[in-house]
Amino acid sequence: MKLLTKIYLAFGFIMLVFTFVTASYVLQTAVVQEDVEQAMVSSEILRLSQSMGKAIVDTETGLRGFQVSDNEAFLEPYYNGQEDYEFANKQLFELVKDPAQRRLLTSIDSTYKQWLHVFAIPSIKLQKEALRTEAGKAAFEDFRNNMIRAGAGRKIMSVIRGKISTFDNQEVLLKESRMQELKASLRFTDNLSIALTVVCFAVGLFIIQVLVKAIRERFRGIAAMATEIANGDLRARVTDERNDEITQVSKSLNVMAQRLEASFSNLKKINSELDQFAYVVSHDLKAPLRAINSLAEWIEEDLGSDLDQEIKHNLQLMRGRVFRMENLINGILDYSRIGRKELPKQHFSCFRLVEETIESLALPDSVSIEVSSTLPELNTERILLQQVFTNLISNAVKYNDKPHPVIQVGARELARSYEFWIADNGPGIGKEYHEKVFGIFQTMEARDTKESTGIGLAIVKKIVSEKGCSIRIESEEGMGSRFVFTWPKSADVVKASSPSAVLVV
Amino acid sequence: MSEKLVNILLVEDDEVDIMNVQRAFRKNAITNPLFVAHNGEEALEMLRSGMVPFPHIIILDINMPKMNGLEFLRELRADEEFKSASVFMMTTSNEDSDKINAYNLNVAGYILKPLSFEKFIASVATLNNYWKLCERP
Repeated sequence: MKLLTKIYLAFGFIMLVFTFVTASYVLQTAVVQEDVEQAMVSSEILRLSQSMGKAIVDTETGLRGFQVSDNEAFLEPYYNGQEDYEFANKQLFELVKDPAQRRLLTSIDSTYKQWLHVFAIPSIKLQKEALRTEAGKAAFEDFRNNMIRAGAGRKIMSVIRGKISTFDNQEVLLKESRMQELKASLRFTDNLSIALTVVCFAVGLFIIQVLVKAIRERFRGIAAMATEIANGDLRARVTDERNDEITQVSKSLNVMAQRLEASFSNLKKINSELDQFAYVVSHDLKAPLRAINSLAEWIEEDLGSDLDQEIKHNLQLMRGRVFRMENLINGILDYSRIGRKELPKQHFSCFRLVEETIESLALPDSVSIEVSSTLPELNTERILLQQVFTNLISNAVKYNDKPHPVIQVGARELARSYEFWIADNGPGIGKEYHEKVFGIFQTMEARDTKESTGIGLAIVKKIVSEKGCSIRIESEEGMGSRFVFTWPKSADVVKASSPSAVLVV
Repeated sequence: MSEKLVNILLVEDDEVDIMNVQRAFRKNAITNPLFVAHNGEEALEMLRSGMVPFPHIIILDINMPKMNGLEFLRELRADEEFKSASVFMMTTSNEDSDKINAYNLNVAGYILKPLSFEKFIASVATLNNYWKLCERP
């Protein structure tokens, strides 16, 4: 899976969980709202039930007033009571949903209707009739004795009151249970929100952890590989079994390392071929030279004292050329060897190095050399630096035209390197030759005048260039020469940082 | 003086180099019997067939046709009879690898063929002293 897809999925999942949290909260709110509404309805039912009860009492009071007073004006509360009852009853039927309560309500209604039809309406009708006719009086008297005095109406009424009271009690219970429900659902909503948020947080943390681990470990692997390659281990590879963007980077890195390794081993092969070539040159080209030299010597020896001066001179010239040829071969071998072999690095004092170099050169007494004591201590390839000093100092002496050659060796510190100089009081070098003298086999004088291969400065320049530094000449004809070269301060080549120092996600 | 001279086996392919050694011997009045083999194989044959009687010293060049000096030396050291033979390398090769290989094969000395004949004579004179020591009963 692509890494980006994974990240999208992870964040998508977290967002989904949060959406779920919000949705469930909204749903729970709806439940709570319903409960609140139910509680409010219960209160309304209780109020209506109260006014229904009051209406029934009104009708009864009106009826009783009329029965006592025979004044029809007292019937007003009776009629108003009925109207109020009908109104309240109708509203109650609309509001009450609980089946038991509905049954109770129906029963209240039918009992009330029974009271009206069995007691109230006949009572009023008979009483009105009694007011108009004597026969009616008897009938009413009869009704009064049988029904009113027997307490038939009161009995029904007490049944109604009982039922209303039951209804109210039930309704209060219902209301209380709804309040309980409301509280429960509020608590549930709270708990659910907290639980989901915690879950969401945990899942989010987990996903982040997984992602970070997946990415960090692999970047570490890549960084470690790059460090190994930078430190010279070209066989380093990074393994990545997944299939995403980082895998592509890893694959490219591996291909890069492989190519690097291939070209490096190719380079090694070429180098060893060159070594072989150098070996062949040194042995096979020198063998015939040595033979020529020996033979020339033997001819000279065998001819003995009666040798013609000219022949002798020619033989000597021949041996001189053979000698020069060997020097040239050695020179070109030395030149080709520079930079192809890893040399050991040492910590040493340059002052001591120059002193040793001067001693090994076995210079004539007329030469005076001043070596500055400010020469630094270095950690580098001693052999290479010694070669440079040897070549430059011996050149300064060899080509000096003064009876007392004076040579100065000094150094100063630069930002990243040291600058060394070797100055002499020799003939100097014209500006036009300042570049040319560093070319291979270039000499300032004919080889016959001064035996020289013209390889020394070429070697110096190659060594200095290999170290990433430069050499130049400050000189004018007749003013002496000053060879100035730089040398890196620290032998440490660019060293890759260790993986621990690499910033990771 | 019943001298029992050390026999010298020169393994060398270059005619001039052989002449060089012969002349050096003459100049230094070295009378030891000198045997010449032109390559490693020939030298091994001469040794094994008893053509070069004991005691002997071998002077060995490195670059030779068929079997070179180091190959010859390896073969020699593997042979019970000759594994303690005294061998001097005499070669133009100044390569570290050649020197190390030679000393690993237990050579008594490594003579770098100098271009000048005088230096070579000095080397042979040194060798001569060494033989004299060997010849002491």
